[in-house]
Amino acid sequence: MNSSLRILIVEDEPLTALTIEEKLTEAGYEICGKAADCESAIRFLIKESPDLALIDIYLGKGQLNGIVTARELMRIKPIPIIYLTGHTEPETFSRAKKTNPLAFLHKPFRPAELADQIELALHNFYHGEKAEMVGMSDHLYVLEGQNKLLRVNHEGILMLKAEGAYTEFFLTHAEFSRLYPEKIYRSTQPLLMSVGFGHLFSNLPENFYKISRSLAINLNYLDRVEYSRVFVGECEVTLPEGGHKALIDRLNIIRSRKKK
Amino acid sequence: MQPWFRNRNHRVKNNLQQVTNLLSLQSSRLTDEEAKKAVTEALLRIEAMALVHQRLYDGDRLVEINLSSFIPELIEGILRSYNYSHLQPEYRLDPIWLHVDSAIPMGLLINELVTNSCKYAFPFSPEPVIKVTCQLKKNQILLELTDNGPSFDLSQKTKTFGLKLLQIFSAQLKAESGFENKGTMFRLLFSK
Repeated sequence: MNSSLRILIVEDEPLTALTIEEKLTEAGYEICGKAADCESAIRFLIKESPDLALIDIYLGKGQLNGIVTARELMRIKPIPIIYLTGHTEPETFSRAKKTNPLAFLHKPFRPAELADQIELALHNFYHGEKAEMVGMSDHLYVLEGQNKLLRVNHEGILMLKAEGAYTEFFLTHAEFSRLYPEKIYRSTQPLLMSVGFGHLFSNLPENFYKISRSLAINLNYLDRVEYSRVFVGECEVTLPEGGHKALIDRLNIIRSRKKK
Repeated sequence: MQPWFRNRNHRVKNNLQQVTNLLSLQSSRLTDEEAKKAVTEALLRIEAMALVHQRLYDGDRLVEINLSSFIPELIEGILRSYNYSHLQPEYRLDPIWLHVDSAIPMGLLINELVTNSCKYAFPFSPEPVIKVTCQLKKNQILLELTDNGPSFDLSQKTKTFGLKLLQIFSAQLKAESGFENKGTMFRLLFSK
C-alpha cells in the first residue's frame, strides 16, 4: 500500500463522503479534498493535485454529473479516475467507460472493502500489463515516479529508444518545455519512463517508424536521410544494415498514400 | 426501462447505502468488543440485502436476480469480513432466476448460515470446508449448505438470535428447513 497516495472524493451525499473518507484514511490513504460538485472538484484538482479521483456519477439535481466532471478534470490535468455509483445501467456504464476509469464500483458498497477495491484497481493500473501507460487518440499517459501520470502528446515525441524494461523519450523542445517549464532542454538528454518499448510502440500512430528493434522515430520530424544515418529534429541516428532501404520503402508508402 | 422505475431503484440503493454508512461509522467508534461485533453483524445483514438490490434491475430482468452469481458473491463477502477469504467454497449451483421478494429472505438466511460457520465451525477445524448446493427441481428450490465444523446440539442453540432469524426467513419463504448431520448441514426447500 502506498501510504502517500492522495485521493479526491467527488460525492454529493455528505454521509457517504464521510464514510469513504474514514475508511480510506484508516487504510492509510490521504483524502486531499471532498467535493460535492464539478466546480469544487476542479478547485481541489488545481489546489491539491490529487493522485486519484473517486467520483460518484449522480451529483444531485441540476448538477453536472460525475462523468462530465471526470472529463473536465482530465482536461485540466490527467488524473486516474474510479467511479463509485448506484447508476449501473449498461448505458451509464458505457458512457463512463469512455473516460477510461481504473474501476467502476457499485453502490451500495461495503465500507470495509472499499480500500481493498481501490488498492486492487491501483495495483492493476500501475503493475498490470497495461499499467505502465494509457493510450489516447493523440497523446498517451506514462507513469512518472511512484504514482503520477504524465501526459505526452504524440507530436511532442521525436524518438523513442528501448532501455531494458524502460523507454527513453526524446521530446521536442516545445513538448519538453510544456512538461517541465523550469528545466533546461537538451535534445540529447531523454526522459526515462517505466514503460516497455514494445507495448508503447503498439499504441502509437503510423507516423512512428521502427528503425531497429530498440529505436523508433517520428517520421514527421525526419529532416535528413543519408545512407548510414538520419537526422530527426536535432538528433542524429545511425541506421543499421539494410535500414536505409527499409526506411526509403516506408517513406514511399507514406508518399503514395498521401497522393490519394 | 421506465424512468420512474429506475429512479425508485436508485433511491432504494441510495437509502441502503445510507444505512450501511451509519452502521459502519458507528462501528468504528465503538470500543467495546461485544458491541462492535453486534453492529458488524447487523452491517452484514444490511449488506446481504444491499447486494440483492445491487444486482437487480440492471438487465432485462427487472425484479429477478441470478442465484448462481448472487450466492457466491454474497458468501465470499461474508468470508472476507471474517478473514476467511482464502477459503474456496465448493459450489454446485443451477442457473436460477429468483424474484426479489424471495431473494431477500434467502440472502439473509444464507448470511446467517455462513456467519454461523465463520463463528462456530471454521475456528475449530484444521481445514475448513464449505459446500453450497442450489438446485431447481420441479419449480422447487433446494439449498444445501454444509460445513465441517464440530457437530452441535440443536436443543442448546435454539435460543440464539441467528437461529431465530433462520426460522423467520424460512417461514417467510414458506420453506421446509432444518439442520441435518448433527448440525453440519442445513437444508432449505421452497417453491419458486
